[in-house]
Amino acid sequence: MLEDNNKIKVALAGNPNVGKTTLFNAITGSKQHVGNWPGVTVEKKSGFTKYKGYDIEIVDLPGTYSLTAYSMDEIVSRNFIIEEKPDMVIQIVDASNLERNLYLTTQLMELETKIILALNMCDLATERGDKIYLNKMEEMLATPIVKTVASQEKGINHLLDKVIEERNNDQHHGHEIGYGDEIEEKIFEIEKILANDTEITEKYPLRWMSIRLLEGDENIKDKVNKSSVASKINDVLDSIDQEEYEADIADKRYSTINIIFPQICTRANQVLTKSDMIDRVLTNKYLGIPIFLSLMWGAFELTFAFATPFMDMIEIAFTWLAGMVSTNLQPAWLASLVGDGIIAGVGSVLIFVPNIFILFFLLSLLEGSGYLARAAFIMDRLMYKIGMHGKSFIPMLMGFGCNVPAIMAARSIEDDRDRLITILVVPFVSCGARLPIYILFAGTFFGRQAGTVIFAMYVLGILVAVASAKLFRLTVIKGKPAPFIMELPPYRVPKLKSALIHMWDNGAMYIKKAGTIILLGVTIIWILASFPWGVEYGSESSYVGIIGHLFEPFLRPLGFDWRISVALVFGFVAKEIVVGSIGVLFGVGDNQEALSQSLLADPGITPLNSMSLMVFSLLYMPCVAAMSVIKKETGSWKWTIFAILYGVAVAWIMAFVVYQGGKLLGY
Amino acid sequence: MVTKGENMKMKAHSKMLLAFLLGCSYIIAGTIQSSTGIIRILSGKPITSGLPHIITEALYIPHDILSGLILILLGTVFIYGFMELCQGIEEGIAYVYVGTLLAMIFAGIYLLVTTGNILEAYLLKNEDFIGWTPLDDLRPEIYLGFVSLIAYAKWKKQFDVKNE
Repeated sequence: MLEDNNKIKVALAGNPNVGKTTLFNAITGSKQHVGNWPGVTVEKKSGFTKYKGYDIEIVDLPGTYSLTAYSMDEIVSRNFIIEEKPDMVIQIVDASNLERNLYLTTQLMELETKIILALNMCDLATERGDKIYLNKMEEMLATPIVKTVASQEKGINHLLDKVIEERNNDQHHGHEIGYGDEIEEKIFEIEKILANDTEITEKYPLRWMSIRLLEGDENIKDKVNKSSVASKINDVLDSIDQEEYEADIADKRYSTINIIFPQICTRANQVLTKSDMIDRVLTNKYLGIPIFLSLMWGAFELTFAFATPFMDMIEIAFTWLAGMVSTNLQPAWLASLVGDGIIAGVGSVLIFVPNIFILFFLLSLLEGSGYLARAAFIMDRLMYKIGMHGKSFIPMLMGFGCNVPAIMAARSIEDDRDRLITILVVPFVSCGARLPIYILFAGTFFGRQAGTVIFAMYVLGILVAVASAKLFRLTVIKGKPAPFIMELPPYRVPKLKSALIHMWDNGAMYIKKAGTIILLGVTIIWILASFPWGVEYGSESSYVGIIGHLFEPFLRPLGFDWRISVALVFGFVAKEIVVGSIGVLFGVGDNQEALSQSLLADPGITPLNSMSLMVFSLLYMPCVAAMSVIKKETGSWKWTIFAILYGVAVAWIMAFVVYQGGKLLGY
Repeated sequence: MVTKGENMKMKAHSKMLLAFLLGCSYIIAGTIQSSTGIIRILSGKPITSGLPHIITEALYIPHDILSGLILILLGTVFIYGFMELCQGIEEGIAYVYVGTLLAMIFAGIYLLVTTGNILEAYLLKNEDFIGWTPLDDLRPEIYLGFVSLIAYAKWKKQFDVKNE
């Protein structure tokens, strides 16, 4: 067993999108999701590795440009370094963007913790012709530096050697920036006052805390206000112009960087890089949005069309299975449970696994290339006009996969009101769980135009989200969105391995849901459809019929009969259950082709009410998992209930307009 | 003997010519594709006779509004590049570069769709695909995409990072 002195706790810090998670995965062998845009990691994650007899814990922190704690993810990073006191911090520095990354370095140094700089993406800097003088840099920053290319797992052992070396090195490389006489005097004065409070002295580096107070850090002020020295500190702070001090302190840091930078790096003079060339077109004022829409359309067209043969293969396998069950399983009720319930329900969900895999693979390619960050950029002007923060578009795009991480991704938005609006509108973005509903109904009723109909559903989700944001801005969450500043990452060729892992993780989650919550859901529906004892399976006299008739009056104006009503009611648990329930209630076994035929033959289901159903399913309410994360992220039942009721109201109105409007037009 | 400067000019001219030709081809194909798509929807039946039928059959153009609009968009990207290069704006090359990339992406999408149909027809023997041949899936996105691929391969080095 390892002793405590063989344990090392290391925090990975750095600017957003410099490769922290890639390095984390390379060191710990984890498979955390990596994206090519700022804000992928919103919660700290721990991993372990054993190296040369040491048990090393690595903590991957959300990216932060500074330690100013303007957004929630910045607070997570800062609090971890200060309060949990890791043995050292590895700051991952983007070698191709050295100047900007050094700002965080200057702040980390003030935290009096051991720092190692991992100079990552050296390959990009070298390819561009930049030259970095490592020895000079180490000397000037008084900090050990290791070159890494995390994406190729280069320099990892050297970095771990350095971690062990620093762990056993009692010398601390302190390095302070001088802020000029006036500010230094105030720092000294505040430090002296803070030193009288033992709780603060034990927890925080006093110089760092004094600087943060002079910069007007609200989070630190709150901490000080709870201490015994609050009034004295406030007296000092009241005597200065904090905005001016904040600007002066930032100026001093930049001046220090400007002195250091030319001595440690020479940068090649760039004419036009590939990234610049691509950006010139993809962020073009007129072409940007049409190109974005066309690429998304291409992704959905492929998701539908390329998956078809693979869906057919699954269908063949389930048809064989259903045949085996019906001929060999006794007694009859068990054959019905397995055939009409489990195989019909779960099978009708599993048949869409190829679509889910393809969609996630394509989204992962778009994300890894760096294009999604541009999508946020090109939509910013439009988003700002309608009262949304440009950064909100990234969680919305993430919502195409699953709404749960998308709602969590809103943490990277600094302004609380912008964040709340984003959380409330993300559930309107069509997630992977809703895709089977579209494929089933669009494929059945719209033939070759199915891909376009599915694309239209995704666009409708975004439009409703955007319109809702505007409505919230005008009514319940008034105010202007904060200005949008986001660093555009360089374009990269997406890593196939990373895309396949992302695809598998999400696809596997879908399969797991089919084997758990959907299996449970369809079994309950089978039971409700089979009882009371002696009724015809799935008939109006069964329990499922009674429940369906209970909700039917509310949903009838949208064109839904009692069977669709039941499917929608159970769909609030997980949207996949809608298709599973339809599979059970239309009693056609697992066979999707047969399900399509059954839907086509049913006089109660037409292209018009199938369109209305798709619209309602898209908008009607977040699933249970999304609801719980809304509660967690807003910390409010009021907003959670509001999200549910608002969603149902919008879905009802939109589906009503589609169905009744279509009828008026003669469809 | 051709000097280095003249050689560069010739290369720029050849890119302008390519941008113009591809731009026009995509816009023409896209316009036919979209307009026949509109005619098909308005008339409620497939186009089986007349000049539109002859043209679309000869050029393998499907009758589809949305994919037609995307062809027009691709053509616009090339024409944008052509216009900038004509005005002596060197950065206009970016439009030719991105145009070829987008053209290859959409060619790739439709080739994958064809691959799926090949599996349906020859592996799964799906009855909906009786009489279907891969040629039935040929469309402007694919053959114009191949032209873009050739252009990209020819000028790949010139699209690479330029440092001083």
